This record gives sequence, structure tokens and C-alpha cells, in this order.
Amino acid sequence: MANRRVLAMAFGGSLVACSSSPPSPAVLAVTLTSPPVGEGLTDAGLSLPVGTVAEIDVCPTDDGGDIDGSVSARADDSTYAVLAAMTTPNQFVVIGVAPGDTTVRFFFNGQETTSLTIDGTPANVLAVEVVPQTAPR
Amino acid sequence: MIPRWRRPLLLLVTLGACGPVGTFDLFPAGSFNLSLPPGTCGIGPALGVPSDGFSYVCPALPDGGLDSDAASDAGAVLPYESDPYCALVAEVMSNPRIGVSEALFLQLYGIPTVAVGAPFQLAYEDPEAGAPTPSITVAAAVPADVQSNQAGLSITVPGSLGFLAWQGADVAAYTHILARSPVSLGLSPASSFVAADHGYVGTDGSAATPLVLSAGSIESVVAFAEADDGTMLAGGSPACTFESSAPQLLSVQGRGVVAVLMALAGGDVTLSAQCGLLDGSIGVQITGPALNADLEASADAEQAPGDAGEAGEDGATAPDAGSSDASEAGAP
Repeated sequence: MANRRVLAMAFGGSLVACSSSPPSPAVLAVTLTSPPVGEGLTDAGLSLPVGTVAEIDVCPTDDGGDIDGSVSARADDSTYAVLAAMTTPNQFVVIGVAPGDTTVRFFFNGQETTSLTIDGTPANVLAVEVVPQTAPR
Repeated sequence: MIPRWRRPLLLLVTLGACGPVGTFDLFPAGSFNLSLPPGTCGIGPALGVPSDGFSYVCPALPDGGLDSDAASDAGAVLPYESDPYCALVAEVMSNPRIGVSEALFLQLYGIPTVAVGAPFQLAYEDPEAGAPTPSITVAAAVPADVQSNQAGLSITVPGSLGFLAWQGADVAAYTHILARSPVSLGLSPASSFVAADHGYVGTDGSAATPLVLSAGSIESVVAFAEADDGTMLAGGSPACTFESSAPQLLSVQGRGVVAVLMALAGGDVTLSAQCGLLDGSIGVQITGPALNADLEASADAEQAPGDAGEAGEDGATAPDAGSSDASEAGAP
């Protein structure tokens, strides 16, 4: 790395900590981080410009209380969006790969759960729409 | 011994995400201010909510840094640079008025907007580890939108592109870089980053014209690709050629994307630049004695008692020769 100069840094990020409590959540509380460009969060779910990344934080909850458990997520059609877990617990990224619609499903301790709240709104799955870029040209 | 160009060193500290930034007054007696237009994040608008640990890495300097003791008061002369963003930031960080503490706040500039097709390097370092993590690789969200070569990565399509730091199958962090199409060439003095009141002023475009210099001063001007709204675009550039419309008034030496200007005599000059397919120009107004005035002074000196008969009368004597002659004329 000799002669390389680090001139700019970017900062940010967040951590979600789910408190220890009994298992078997009533719902998975999904919190979306708006992508940097595009429509971002919509009533239907997440609108994600192709090539960009959005973050999903998931906490298993029981009537408002957080509980621990293994959470995973998967997109039905990886042609349009890909899910990946982050190294931090209960956090995922959605990567917009190509324009199109897909559905993200969530699993708690290996079992799919359709009892979700997405930014506080009840839902069964997370709808993801990958849209063309609209950034300045 | 002529001092070598001192390479800047930026320490790491977490200051929070970029975003609306006001004026900071962090040191006693207003010794340092960082002013950015509200909503600005980076030189040119970067994107909000970046993940921590990503760094825009400037390429190594092919000449290892410029030998220069050129007057820092007149704007430090820059080494050979191929990336205008690196040239401008290096100027800020090498300013003698700027200490390491103040340089930390350059981090607020974030990762800059880059030109489509311009190579750059992006690195990730776990902020908690404090050193590069070998098991982490950085990749674009859509690999097809990126080309890779020895100079680094280049984004091939305009728009925002995510970059992820992969640790095995998991993502340690991510960030976005905005790529925009370069449409013109801007020219800006490097010293425009440092305002007269000892504060930083970010620049998102070319300097106001004309650039005003004093005869005898040295200035560095950086040529950079700019988007259609004048935003400066980072990334490696082809070597630029610079031309002064009046070399007898303004001499210019190209060093990659940097032009080192020396104002020789008063007058109006146009500085033109071409970098690859882009070209641009800037007006330069040099204050001070005009060339003719210099020559007249030279002629007057030569006509001093005892030398009057040797003085040239056509005014064609070069300024340097005139000065030299004047010194000799004044000698006992």
C-alpha cells in the first residue's frame, strides 16, 4: 500500500440490537433504510434503483418486545434483486440487479413467517421493485 | 536542499454521515472553519448514508512529489497528479496553515462523484480493526457496470452504483458512488479551497473568471472534468496540455492535471487546457507592472549615468536580461 493516499472517508451505518426474551415471535419487525436515490420507500415496499443497495433491519418481536432468534431473508427472483446478510446481526442488504419486481420472504429459525411489520405496517412479504436509474446524467 | 513535497496523512475518525453541513468553528479564535454549502457531501454531491470504512484512494505520484520551495504564500505548487480530486485535496492538506487536526475534517467531503469511465481506487478498512482486512473484498453491486484495469475501477454507466465489502458470503459494509458523464473541462486554482479568512471553502465548479494573479506570483490550477451543472468529477484523467495565450506574461508548466502558472508581467491572458477529449479555458488577469513597463524600467536602468550610451532603444530587451543589466548598472 506504499504511496497510496487515503483522502476521503465515508461514514455511517447502524446497529440493531434485539434484546433477549422468549422465542416464537409474533411478528418480524422490518425496518427499511431508504436507498440513496429513487423513490425509496413506498406503500408497496421498497423501490430500489438498479445498481444500488438498501438495508433491511429485522427484529423478531413479541407484542412490541424484542426477542432473539435466527432471521434470514431471500428474494424469490434473484434476476432482479439479491439478498445478502450483513456481518452485523439481523441486518441484510438488498442489491438491485436489474429492473423488475420481486418478493422478499423472511424466515425465523428456519421457518417462513408472513407476520411482518414493514416500517410499522402489517404485511406478509416485502415487495421490492427495482427501477431504472434516475440519477443525474 | 529543496524540500520535498510532503505527502499528506489523514488520520481516521468517525464523524458521522455526510449531509447538510454548516460552518464549523472548532478551534479557538476562529482559527479554522470548514464551510460547505448545505447539502453538500463531497466535492460534487456525494450520496447520503454511506457505510463506514470505505476510502477513496489516490494513485501513487509518478514523480514521487515535486521538488518545490515555491512560495507557499502564493499557493503551493503541486506535484504531478492524474486525479483532479486528489490534486485539490492534497493542496488543502499541504497548506501550511492546516494541521493534522484540521485535516481530519476533510473526511466530511466523503467519497466524491466520479466521471464515467475515469479510473479510481476504492478501499475498505474495518473501522474497528484499524487495518485492512485481507478476507474482505470490495465489489460493485452490478459487476457488469464496472471495468477494472491497472489504474483501478471505472464505472461505465452514469448513475449511482453500490459497492459492497464482502466478508465471505456476508456484507461488512456498503457505500454508493455516483458516476456522471463529463461534458466539459473546468479549471480552478487549487488555492480556492483555502479562503482568505483562513477557512476552507468547498468548490463545486470552475473558478470565477478571470483568475486574478499578481505579477511575480506562482499559482497552481487544476483541470478537471465537470458534469453539465459544473460539478467537479473525480477520477484519473489523461495528461493535460496547457497553453498560455501570452507566454511572455504567463508561463505554464503542465504536471498531469495540474498547471503551474508563473505570472511574469501585468496583462490579460487566456489559459487553455485540453485533457483527452475535453477542453476548456480560463481568463487570467495579472496585476502589476505590464511587460512594456518592465522594459521601460529596464531601459531606464540601462540609461543610468555611465551606461546611457549602451542602453537599447528598441525596448526588445528580455525582462530577465533587463533586470540583470539593471543590477550591473547599480553596482559600484
